[in-house]
Amino acid sequence: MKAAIFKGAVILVFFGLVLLWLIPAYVPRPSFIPGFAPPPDFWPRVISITGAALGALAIVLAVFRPASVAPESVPGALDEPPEWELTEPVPVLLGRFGMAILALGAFLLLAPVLGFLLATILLTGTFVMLSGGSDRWIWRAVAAIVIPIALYVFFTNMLNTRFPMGWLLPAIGL
Amino acid sequence: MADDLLIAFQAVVTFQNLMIIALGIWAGVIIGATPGMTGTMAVTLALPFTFYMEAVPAILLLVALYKGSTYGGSVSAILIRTPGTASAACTALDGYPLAQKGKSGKALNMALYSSVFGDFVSNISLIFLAAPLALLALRVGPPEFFMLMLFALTTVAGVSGNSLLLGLVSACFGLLLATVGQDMYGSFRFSLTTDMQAGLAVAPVLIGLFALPELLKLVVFRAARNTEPMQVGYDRVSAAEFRAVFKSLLRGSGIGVVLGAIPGIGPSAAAFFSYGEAQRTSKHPEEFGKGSLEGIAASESANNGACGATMIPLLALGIPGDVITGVMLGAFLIHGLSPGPLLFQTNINEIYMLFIGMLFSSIFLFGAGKITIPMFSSIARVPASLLTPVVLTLCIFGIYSISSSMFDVAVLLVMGVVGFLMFLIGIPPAPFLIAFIIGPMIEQNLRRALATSRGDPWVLLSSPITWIFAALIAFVIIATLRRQLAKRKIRGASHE
Repeated sequence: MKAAIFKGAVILVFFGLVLLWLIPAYVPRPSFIPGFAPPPDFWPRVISITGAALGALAIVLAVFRPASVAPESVPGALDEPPEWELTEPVPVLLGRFGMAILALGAFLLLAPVLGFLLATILLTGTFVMLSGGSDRWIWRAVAAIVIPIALYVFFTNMLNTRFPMGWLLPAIGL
Repeated sequence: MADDLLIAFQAVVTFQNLMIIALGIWAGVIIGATPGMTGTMAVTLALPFTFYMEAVPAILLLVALYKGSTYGGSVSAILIRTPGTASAACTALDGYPLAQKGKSGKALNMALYSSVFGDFVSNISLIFLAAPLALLALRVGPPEFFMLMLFALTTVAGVSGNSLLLGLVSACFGLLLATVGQDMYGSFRFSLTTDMQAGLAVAPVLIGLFALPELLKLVVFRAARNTEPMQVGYDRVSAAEFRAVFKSLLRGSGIGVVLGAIPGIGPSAAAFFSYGEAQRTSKHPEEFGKGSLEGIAASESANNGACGATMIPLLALGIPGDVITGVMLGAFLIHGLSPGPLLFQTNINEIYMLFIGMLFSSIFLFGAGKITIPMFSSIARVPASLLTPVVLTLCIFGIYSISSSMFDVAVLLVMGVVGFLMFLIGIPPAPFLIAFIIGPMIEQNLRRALATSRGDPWVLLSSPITWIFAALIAFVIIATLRRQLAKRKIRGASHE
């Protein structure tokens, strides 16, 4: 029940923040609106009120749900059959999630510095290691190095994409 | 009309276009057959590459991937009991037991014949139904369109995931995200940075939401599938066996077409419904779940039968029936085509080209399936731990190449994390994506309806068509709630 209440509270707080803070701050109303056209903040308000109401409803349903009933399973039913199970302690899982977020953040910061290709190689290599994949180093190397280089060559030569080169390597004469 | 058809035929039947369809189908079959890869992923990953193509070949490539992956999903269902797509879940019920009996070749062949049959029926239905529906849609105004889109959204929210409430919350998130950027009258909304003034592009949002969470699931949970794939034999489906399942094929294809054409239902529900009907009406219901060819035929003809049919609401009304057609809607818009009733007046040649290309895709599906069947055991062995990081690389390169913008890459990565968090909370992503794509259209129709009615909200219930959609929305909500209550009772009883 606690998880269901928490879920409802997260939804309520999110849409509440949008309604009370983001819309007043970031959806300015023009001084003149022609005819009977609804103002630009009309639709975001409708969505936020609906979302907040659904969050509140989730809390109410969680409070009044019979205790004997098990909570919903995590993944969706029709479009995503359940396939993942918690086989390890939560702190371990959180640690892996944190590492993945750090790697993604580092990629965004490093791409303008090291260049797009090198940053992508580092990111892919990190994810190959994090996903605990094949023991064969050759496959890891192919996934982390050869594929980014092949894609870089393909997009640069075939589709004329210009990727960021980064400033660090040219600055040190490479 | 005959001249138009001839011109379209000549335009489609070029070596380049046929190669695109063939490669799309073949790649779709392989991706669908690869554990951990889905049809949605195949279509979303191909989207960036279509930016450099002409409109019709681009759409045909996506359609080919969709059809190929829907059939390919049955391969891993049969060989390792892991459906490559949700719509192949019923195929696993009979396909895997048949493979255990050493008849995996027969199961794969039956899945292929049923898929091709369903696909062909679906294409014919699309050709004959889309244009009349588009003509009908020309007669309706903004209130009717608003109610129709609300109905589509409610249906998607109802059938995705375990909870209607969370499905609706997901749709609200998508609608809200769609408001970022300039509105229909030129006002900026939620433009926290200059990059956001143009709004969020469809490609990074949908690729982030559907491809990257798979990678994060793999990193965090590291679930390994240790099921060894069955060896593929060469046993064929005899003419007598084909005749015996023909009724199920016809019924399955019909169910696929009808359910596929209703926005939000899609191939999964069609496969489940068809399988249930086949078992109910079969002379040998006791064989279902133990390797029945009829079960495989019913499931596969229905899920492929729904593929072409999901294009009916997309082309005729501009409303995507499921996530994959949502991606296709994005591709149409990127190429300057607006699906909907007017498309049949302004771009009839492109429509005919699409229809002809789709008919060819049924033939290629048969060829690709036949060629690939002997390779399926190897494909099913590819480790997801190597494949999924490669998907990440492909996503990043693909998204950057579309707009040359690191902002879009950042949106991709953020949406990947959002998608993973939604998975953890149990919020289904499908309503989010559909809402994000059709959100601007919903808002435009609502604001136009209110503007023309001088702000009177009753305009949304002012005509018989709007009443019908309002009734359908109520029906979907009540039916979904009843289904969820019944499931809850069963769970409650099993816990006591």
